[in-house]
Amino acid sequence: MTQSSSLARPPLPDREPARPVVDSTLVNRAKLGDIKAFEEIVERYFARCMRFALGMLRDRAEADDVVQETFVRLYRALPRYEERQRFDSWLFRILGNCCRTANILRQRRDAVDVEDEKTLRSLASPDRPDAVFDYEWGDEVRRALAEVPEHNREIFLLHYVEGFSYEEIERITGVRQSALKMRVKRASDHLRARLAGVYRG
Amino acid sequence: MAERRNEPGPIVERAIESLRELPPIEGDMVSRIVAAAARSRAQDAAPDADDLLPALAAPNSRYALRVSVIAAAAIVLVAGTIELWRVTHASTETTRVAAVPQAVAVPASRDVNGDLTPIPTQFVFDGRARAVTLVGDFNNWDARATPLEREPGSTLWSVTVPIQRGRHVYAYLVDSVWTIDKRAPVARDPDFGVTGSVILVGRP
Repeated sequence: MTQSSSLARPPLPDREPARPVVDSTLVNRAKLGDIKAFEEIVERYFARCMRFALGMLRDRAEADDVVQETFVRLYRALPRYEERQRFDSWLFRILGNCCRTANILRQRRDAVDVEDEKTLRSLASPDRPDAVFDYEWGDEVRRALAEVPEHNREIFLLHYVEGFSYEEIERITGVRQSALKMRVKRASDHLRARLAGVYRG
Repeated sequence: MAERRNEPGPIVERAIESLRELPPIEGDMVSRIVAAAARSRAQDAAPDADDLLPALAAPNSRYALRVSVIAAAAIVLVAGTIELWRVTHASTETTRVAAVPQAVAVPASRDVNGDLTPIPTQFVFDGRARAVTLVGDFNNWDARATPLEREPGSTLWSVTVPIQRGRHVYAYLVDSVWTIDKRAPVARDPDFGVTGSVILVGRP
């Protein structure tokens, strides 16, 4: 079991610093239409964007589409990018919007999928010792995260996984810091309660 | 102490650690994205069938200014006509009006001094709904950023937002359902992966 090895794990390291990883020269080249510069930007941010999209959306195919859409929109909007904004904040604002809109557009065609999801969850439930497959800690975390309301999940991911400060998230989302902290707390409370039964720390 | 209370604790820390693992990058994903972006910008550069007022694209042209003023006046006239029709028919044909959602985007004013000054632009939607929000390239398609407010006792929803001059694509989310503006041109190159409506604001 993956979680049994957590006994020997060191404490969680400090959050990854959300430092800008592109310089203004690269962005300026991309603004002028330099496709090679844009490709370099995509290479540097793709994995982080995909990680965030996988947390916000239902599956890999959907995340693929949304991440592609995000970078296409970023490229189109680059001429309007102002350097006083942090580049990764701007990117994650577009990505967050794309994720939210994808979820809205999907809500109407969800009835069948929801049934499938329920079936999947019942199969994977830790309450069912007869489940025929061995679930992984990471799978449990993703299931628990998927149950967190979208507006709390987004802030939780931005803060704890992507490493943005509350101040920066306020700039990204326009939501006040006190509300952001409450959303992160609610997401954390849900994860803690949901994972307590399978955590072997 | 307050900070300690906000600490996630060991279970959530382990969950965060797991969530921080970066997913693998599939071989051609980056090149596919770059190709899609290049195609997209090439479309932007091509002449656009739904740019119905090509003269607006000529900055500092007196003719362009004249046409834009006429166009703005025409849009206001259409909006006024709809409103007048709605008011005069409200008592007898409310259901019929409400059954056909109508939306009109009206540039509310112009700033002739600074080209970069956003222009307050009013968006009006007519129809029964619990909630209507405006999404567009000017608000990063944020479904929460620009809610419309309903005029008490009517089915008219409106919001005024400052928008940079130029061509913009937008849509309404009516009770979370993507709804294009039937009275506006349809965007040929949907900015958000689905069809939207087009508004020309001031002089591009």
